[in-house]
Amino acid sequence: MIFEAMLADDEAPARVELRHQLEDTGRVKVVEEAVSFPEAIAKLMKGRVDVAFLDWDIADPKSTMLRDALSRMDHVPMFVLMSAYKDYHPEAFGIRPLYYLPKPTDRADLDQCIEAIEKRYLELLERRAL
Amino acid sequence: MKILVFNAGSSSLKFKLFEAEEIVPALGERLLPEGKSLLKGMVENIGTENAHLLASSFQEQSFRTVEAANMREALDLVLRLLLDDAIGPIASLGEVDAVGHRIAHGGDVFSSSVRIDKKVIDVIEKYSDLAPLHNPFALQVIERCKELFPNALQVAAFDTAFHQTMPRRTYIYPIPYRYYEKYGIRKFGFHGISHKYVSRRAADFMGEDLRSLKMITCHLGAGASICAIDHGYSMDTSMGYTPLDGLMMGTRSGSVDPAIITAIMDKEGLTPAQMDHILNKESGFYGVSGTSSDLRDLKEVIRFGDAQAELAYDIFLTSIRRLVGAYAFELAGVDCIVCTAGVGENDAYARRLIFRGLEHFGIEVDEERNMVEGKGERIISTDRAKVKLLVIPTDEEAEIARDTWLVSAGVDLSDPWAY
Repeated sequence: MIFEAMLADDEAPARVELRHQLEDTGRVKVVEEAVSFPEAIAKLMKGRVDVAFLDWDIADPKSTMLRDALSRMDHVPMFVLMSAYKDYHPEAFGIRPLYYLPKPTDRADLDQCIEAIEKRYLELLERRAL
Repeated sequence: MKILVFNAGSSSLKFKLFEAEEIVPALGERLLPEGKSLLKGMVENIGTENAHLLASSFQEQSFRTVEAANMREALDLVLRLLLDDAIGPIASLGEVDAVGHRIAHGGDVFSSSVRIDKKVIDVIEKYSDLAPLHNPFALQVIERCKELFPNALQVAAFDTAFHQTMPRRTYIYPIPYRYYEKYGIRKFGFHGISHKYVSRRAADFMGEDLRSLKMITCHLGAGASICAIDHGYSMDTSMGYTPLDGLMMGTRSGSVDPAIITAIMDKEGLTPAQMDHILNKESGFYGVSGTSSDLRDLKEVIRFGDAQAELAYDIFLTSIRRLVGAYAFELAGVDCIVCTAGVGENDAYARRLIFRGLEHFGIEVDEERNMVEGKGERIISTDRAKVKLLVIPTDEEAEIARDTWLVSAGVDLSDPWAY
């Protein structure tokens, strides 16, 4: 299983780096990129990615944009939140992120993250099968 | 379905009657047929001896002086015109299915147009402080319309609503945070109905999805503001807590060094109200030129070598360039820039100066396209330019009518993905 992903980060070098890191694992393919929070939401609404890697710093925690959009989506992706800081509160978003990825990211972090994605994916698959 | 739209100011009442197709829009379908205008016009100089009524329909335009001592009398004049045997498009008030009202200030309560109820009226009243020349007069019109159109749906469209998607980093001012907590001092932004309308029309005109574009919209009239729109969301705008901020305008200063204000008050011994008057009524084109608040007049005297008028014009164009540039950076790029309202739609010379020499940023005006006199939606950039420059005539009443229509069809406009 290769997961299709969206990468949302306002820093181009960070996107390039993470894209390489993710694709090097052979288990994730980046199919969408976004440089801003509104762009990320617009692209999530259009596409059907399995997982969204969202940089916490481009988002506004008080905004209801993501919540509004998610409430209309048939296919809600898994969320991985990324941040260079430790004290962030993703519950304010109205989403429950699957994983927190520290920045900068190393291979061990990434492997753990992808394991979590796979685990959740299988859970979801099982639930649907039932 | 007939929709009547009102836009009330302190001394004017604009109106427009629309005929909209009676189709309930399918959820998710955002391209709706635009309504057709049957009759529009305005009563100006209400409460003065100079009051007059302007009206235009398909067939004719009329202008006459009238007696209108207050908003109620102005409204009655409008209704008499709508019912007029010769040019009135309706035979009875019962034909009006819905009434849309433009409301200047909805604070941070409304992020979309809403059906008017008691709670909505309370909020409009609450924000009368911040829009003393608009909200109280709109309330008078709403109250009277409730009596006159007891069966019609009434909808409020707010100038501030579109900007409610701004992130905190753009709407919180860098002053002690307690003033936000205590008084709600923050950026609200205005002209939202116009920015929303032209951004949607611009995307349609290009055959693109608004949700795939980064756009800067420039509403350049006697009041002027710019908006940075990222994939359909307003992310920043030049007017602030009040409409005084941002661009230089007819009689408003726009942004100035805030220390100037206290310095002048101190030197001249002015009260806050006097200073407010200077910044709102004696500044801008009028203050710098010393002759007029209307750019058309200034251009006339510039031809005869009036240096002050020329300076005012230059400051105005520079203030636009500065902000368009800032927003292009804030959005990390821009696909399309839209000019609208009086100056934006009609002043080709201003457009040329605002966007000249920006080829480095992918912006290039096509001289010929820009100079073409026209009223319609049009593109004025060269084919090779990366950033599309558009002129989109604004129509706030049409946008209000559209919202009113959507609300009447049961669409929840506070959900940005519902329509």
